[in-house]
Amino acid sequence: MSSFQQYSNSPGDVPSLDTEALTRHKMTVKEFAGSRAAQERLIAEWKGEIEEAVRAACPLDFFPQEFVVVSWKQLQVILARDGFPKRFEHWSFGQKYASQQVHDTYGLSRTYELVLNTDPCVAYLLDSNSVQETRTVMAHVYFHNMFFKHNPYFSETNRKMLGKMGEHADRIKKYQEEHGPDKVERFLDTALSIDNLIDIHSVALQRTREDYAPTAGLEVRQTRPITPVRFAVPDYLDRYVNPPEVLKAQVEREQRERDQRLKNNPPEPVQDILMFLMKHAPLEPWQQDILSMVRDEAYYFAPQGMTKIMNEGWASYWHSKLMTDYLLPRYPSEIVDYCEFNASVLAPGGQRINPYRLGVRLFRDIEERWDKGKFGPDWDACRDMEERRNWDKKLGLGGQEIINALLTHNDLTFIDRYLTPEFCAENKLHVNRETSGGDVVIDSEDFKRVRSLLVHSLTNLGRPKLAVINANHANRGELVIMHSFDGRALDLGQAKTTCQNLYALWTRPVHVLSRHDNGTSLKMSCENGNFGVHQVAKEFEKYFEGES
Amino acid sequence: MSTRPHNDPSTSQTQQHFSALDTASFGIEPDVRRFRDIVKGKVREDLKDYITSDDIVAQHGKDVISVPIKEITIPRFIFGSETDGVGEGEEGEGDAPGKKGGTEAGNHMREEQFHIEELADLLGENLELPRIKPRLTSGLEQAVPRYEGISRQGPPSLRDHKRTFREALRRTIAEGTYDEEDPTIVPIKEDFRYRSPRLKPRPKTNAVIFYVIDVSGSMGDLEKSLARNTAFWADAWIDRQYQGAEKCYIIHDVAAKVVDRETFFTTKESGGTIISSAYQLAKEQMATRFPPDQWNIYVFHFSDGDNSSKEDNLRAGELLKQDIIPFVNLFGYVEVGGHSQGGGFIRYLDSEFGETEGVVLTQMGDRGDIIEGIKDLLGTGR
Repeated sequence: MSSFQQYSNSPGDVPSLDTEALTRHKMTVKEFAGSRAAQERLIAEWKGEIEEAVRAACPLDFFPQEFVVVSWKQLQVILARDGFPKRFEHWSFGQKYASQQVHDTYGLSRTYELVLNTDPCVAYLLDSNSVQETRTVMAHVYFHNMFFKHNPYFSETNRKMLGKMGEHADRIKKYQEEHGPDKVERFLDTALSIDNLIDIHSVALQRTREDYAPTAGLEVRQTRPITPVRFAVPDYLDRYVNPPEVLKAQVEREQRERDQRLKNNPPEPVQDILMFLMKHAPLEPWQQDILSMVRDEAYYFAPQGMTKIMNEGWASYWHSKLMTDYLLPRYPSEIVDYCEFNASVLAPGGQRINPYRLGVRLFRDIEERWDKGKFGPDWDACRDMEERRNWDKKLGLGGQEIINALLTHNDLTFIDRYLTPEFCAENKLHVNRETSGGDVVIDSEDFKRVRSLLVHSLTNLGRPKLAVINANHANRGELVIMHSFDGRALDLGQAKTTCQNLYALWTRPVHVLSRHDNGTSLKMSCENGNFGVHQVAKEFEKYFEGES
Repeated sequence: MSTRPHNDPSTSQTQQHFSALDTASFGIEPDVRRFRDIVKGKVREDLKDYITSDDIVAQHGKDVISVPIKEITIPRFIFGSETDGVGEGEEGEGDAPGKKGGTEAGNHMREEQFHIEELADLLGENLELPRIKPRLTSGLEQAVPRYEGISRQGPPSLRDHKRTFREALRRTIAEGTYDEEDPTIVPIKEDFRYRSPRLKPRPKTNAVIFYVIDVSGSMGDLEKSLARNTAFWADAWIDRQYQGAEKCYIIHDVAAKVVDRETFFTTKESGGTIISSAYQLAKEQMATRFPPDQWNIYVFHFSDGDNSSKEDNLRAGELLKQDIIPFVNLFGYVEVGGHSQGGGFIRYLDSEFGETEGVVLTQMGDRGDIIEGIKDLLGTGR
């Protein structure tokens, strides 16, 4: 900015306008640097500059950062595979890739950044982004990195996932060779269909080592007949050495133990249904292994879904600060383009929430409130609007509080803790309702409704919560899964196929208990390959009793 | 990725991870191929619906056709349609911020691109159409690229694995690094061999399709659309078999004229019908523009069969017998519309040509008959 003033203060000495310098930052990285090696040198140079600014601006540290420059085509593949260049073969990645190409052709979406939760932290830079965009993205990336490192929900994620994903791909490739691609594809279709049936509350806990090991602790449900131990003796001695009563008693004891195990199984509801099936469904080792890989990947991705608003908010909050305080003064000609870029990223979502915008505004709100002491009993008790408006205790705790938020919360608890009626009003958050005609109208701007809906949509990653509550219903080895109803009914069409997939794994009847929109209970059952939705029969009523 | 000087050992791990991959596309092709196969399977299953609907037929003339299909999803336990959501922005309470994007979950449609030739092949598979045996092949030649050569450079998709392996094996044996105990062979850049194209002349076959339609007053919108759908798929199939065919459109009521495709399907006259006028014109066109000794000729005639007089039936039959049927691969007559009690030209044709080879007579009352009609018309393999 100062350089502009210099020019206007000396009207007699108008320098010839260096238009090239003014527009250089609009060039793409590729145009600017030329070869890939030159691009990487350039990135390395900016990296030093930005890292220095990051350290000066924020007290938290971060993983070593690595940037990989990719072309648009490469990025499309990487995006289709959720950020990983190498993943197991499955048509669903081909589908995502194909739809991205359509989006690209119509200019529907532009991806600015893609960061992986790994150590070292890997981020992709698009060689067709402009110089200015690239620098902003780089600044942004460092704070995702920091978020991954310090937010507790990421503490148990595998930071070597880049290699791990490749390993999964190799293992599945091997199974394709051993068992045929069709069989493996069918099983993957089944496994992916239940990949959301994990216990996201255990994400931040250290799951036991046993749980990590792909095959440890597995007790396949015994469908094999029980064969008693016999001593190998000549036939004429058999009657004496292996008396039939003893053998019979052995079989009975074993049967009792098995029954007991099944009856007690599980002692309390198991939300990690993937784990449960790995342990107890009659699967072949390769199938168990695939299930374990799908589960590992699901647990790896879960915290990112749980912290979308916070993570984007955190990174956007800091990149703005970094750019305006440290970096733009060095590149004053970029200010307009930076602002335009920033405005487009932080534009209001309209019918849907833009997580970048909501997150960054909440962080700024927290900073202001804790700087001015707008919290605690005094603040809550104050009803004088004038006083509230001018409230400033000059505590200066804002910087610390946003770090506390990072160190403690996920989106759900973050919203619950920090969303205020004033914030809702100021940002015009509202509840949308879709009318029968397909129009979307604003239904309410009531704070309580907005908050409760927002919290609802973030609970359990916005997925229905299901748990195994009995694995031996009526002593017939039938699986009973309960959906904890919170007012929202399941999509019955998809539930049908998913039920059939569960049945394919479990091989005994599977029952899913849930409720209709109006609250009446229902039972979806898959028995012998036939699916049906029924009223809840007497024998299943007991399962609803514990439910509140 | 290429090398960037860096001392951090973990960095090189990431670099290694990337450089071990086929960085051009990270090997996404098999996934895309498999997905396309699944989509194709869906289209094949539902092809009959596409044949009778207008979605595809309306895109006539394009090489690449968008086919709307139901989004393929991996089923999961998800919530049913949710009517409430949190939004943000300027409007006040009660305002309508607009239509919701997309339709309900699980009901998403998606457009998949298909080359018209792929659709023609699917049509052939679905209706079990025999491949056409051309009546004649002309002496004309055209150059067609064939992958018969081998070169050291080329795209990965054309890699010849067998030859590449052989080269690598030869090299490792020559180098003395071949280990019988562990016969793993890793090809290096010099070993790769690719198939390369060579232009090869191939005899060219000419084909022309005559579409003849009755535009008299009794031909309504339904009749037109039956003709349009049939013509679209006949075009696709015959074009596929001949690498492109000329089209000649003839409309007639009491008199006939040659028109363009647009006019063909939109013209509506009010007069009567004299079928022989159209056959006369077709005969002239064959004589002047498409001599039968050089062209494979197809004639498809759509009419409601309400010819003006018995005499004209005879005149038309004479033209067919003398000047058309002997010289064409196929003469197809489609009587469209459900109300053809009047003239019943098809009955006359059936009595005259019912047993003649190269003549197909079929009726289409409504859209449900299109499939069978197409099967009749194209099922002769001629």
